[in-house]
Amino acid sequence: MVNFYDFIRCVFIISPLDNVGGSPVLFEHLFWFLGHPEVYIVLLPALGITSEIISTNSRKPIFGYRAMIGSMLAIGFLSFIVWGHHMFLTGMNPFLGSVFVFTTLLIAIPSAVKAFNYITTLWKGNIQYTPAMLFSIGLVSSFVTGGVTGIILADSTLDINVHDTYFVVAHFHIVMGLSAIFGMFAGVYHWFPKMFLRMMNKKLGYLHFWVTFVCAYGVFFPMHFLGLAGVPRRYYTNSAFPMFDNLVDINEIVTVFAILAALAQFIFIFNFFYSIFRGEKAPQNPWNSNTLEWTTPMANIHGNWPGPLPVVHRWAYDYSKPGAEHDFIPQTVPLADGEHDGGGH
Amino acid sequence: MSHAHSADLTEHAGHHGHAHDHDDEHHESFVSKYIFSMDHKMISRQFLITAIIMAVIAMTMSIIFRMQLAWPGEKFGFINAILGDKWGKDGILDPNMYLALVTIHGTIMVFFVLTGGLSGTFANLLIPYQVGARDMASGFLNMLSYWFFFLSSVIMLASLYTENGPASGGWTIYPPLSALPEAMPGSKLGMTMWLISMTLFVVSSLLAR
Repeated sequence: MVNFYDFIRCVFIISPLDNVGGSPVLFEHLFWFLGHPEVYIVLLPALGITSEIISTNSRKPIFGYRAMIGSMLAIGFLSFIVWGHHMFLTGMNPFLGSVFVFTTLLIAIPSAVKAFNYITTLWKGNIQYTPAMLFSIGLVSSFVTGGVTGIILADSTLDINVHDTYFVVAHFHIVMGLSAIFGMFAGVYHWFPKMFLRMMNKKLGYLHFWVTFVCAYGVFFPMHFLGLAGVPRRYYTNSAFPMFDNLVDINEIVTVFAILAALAQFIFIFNFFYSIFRGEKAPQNPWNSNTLEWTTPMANIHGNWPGPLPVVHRWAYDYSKPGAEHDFIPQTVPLADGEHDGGGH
Repeated sequence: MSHAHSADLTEHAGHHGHAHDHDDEHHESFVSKYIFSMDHKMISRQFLITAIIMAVIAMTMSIIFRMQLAWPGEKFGFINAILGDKWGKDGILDPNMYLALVTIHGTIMVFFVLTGGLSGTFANLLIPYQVGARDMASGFLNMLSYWFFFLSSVIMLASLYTENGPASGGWTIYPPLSALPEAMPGSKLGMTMWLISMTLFVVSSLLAR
């Protein structure tokens, strides 16, 4: 009978270790072949939410629509061939390591395309600073900040110095944790009227954003310094290492910011549950958005649309179209004579 | 199943297209509307609220271990109040519990909040809306997806109450720490429950979302 290990050996052709019956290194390969795409499963929906919200609230079409889609596809594909960058210290062949350095650094290209397109979408836009918009811009900020340290960690020669230190903790909490949670908050603030038919309180939203944003950087930015000094992650205490004694202050600062950030989340939780029951009734299309979800009645009925399904005539980003009466044209409005669809089909 | 369901929805909408003030609630019980709902909008709300609860739990864990990192060996009454005498004796966090909290914080945040919560909420809500569909293709699988997610969340939280504590080898569960039951206390029943919970989570992801 063929066991699992033989099966894997057939699939991967060579065995990572000649250790019949499984090996810790094989587990790490399999884990990170799952784990790296997993972090993009976390990040990509947040980027999608951000694309919608930044375009709507800048009152501009998303800049580089096709490049944005291409970058998402590229990130999705590349995420499957970079898993080895988690394993530079497992004793893998250094040549294989340099292949993973190359593929990992390639991800910087579509990521930078996305970051620049967000900024160019904002550029000269009529920006509506809703709480959702602030969280989306916060996502762009943390995506760039965390991405920059990603370049350092992707390089095997640099990674060896900070492997399994707080530098790594800072990197992935900013680029994945903060970005994804900001995307989630942005989505909740933006689509709350659709989900619960009431508006969330804007002032509490602003307070929640600014305290969260400042405290989140207060938590994770100093961790870079701990990591560069060599403080390892997952240790119960570092009091046995005299060389880290002068870094205790940084840990205290981080914890104080963490407590403040945690308390700020109760602003959100209060706002969320209060608004479900007591929030102001939501208008049909509170953000003057083009997409189809705002054409359904504000009633959460089965089947979404009471009559026939809507017909889509144009792309979702006809904001501030020259010559148009309003600064948005819903997707259900037919093209006028001689009008070109922004999506290019 | 899915065909019958969507055909029913179309017919339903056709018949009642002009009289929609009554909100379509005539044949729905509390259970079919709020608990075992097959409506993408309700399922997205279920995912969101579950994720908020899980996020608060995981955030509290991070505060507990951050207190230990900033002020090692200091006594905090609330740590004793939350963890009891076994894991927080005199208000000092037990080292094994520290490892467990780091592990479960990572697991909950990565899988239950940022994967299940984020995609479960917004993919369910927005895909049918933005493509102009009446619901997900199979509402029944969508409902199962949420309830497998719920079950896996419950098992993950229940592992906190096992005798030797929950999985403690880090959210990456590298062997041999996670694989050998004698390696650390959390590698006994806690690790088994972690695996059962994650298996159900994967089932949930495969069914829908």
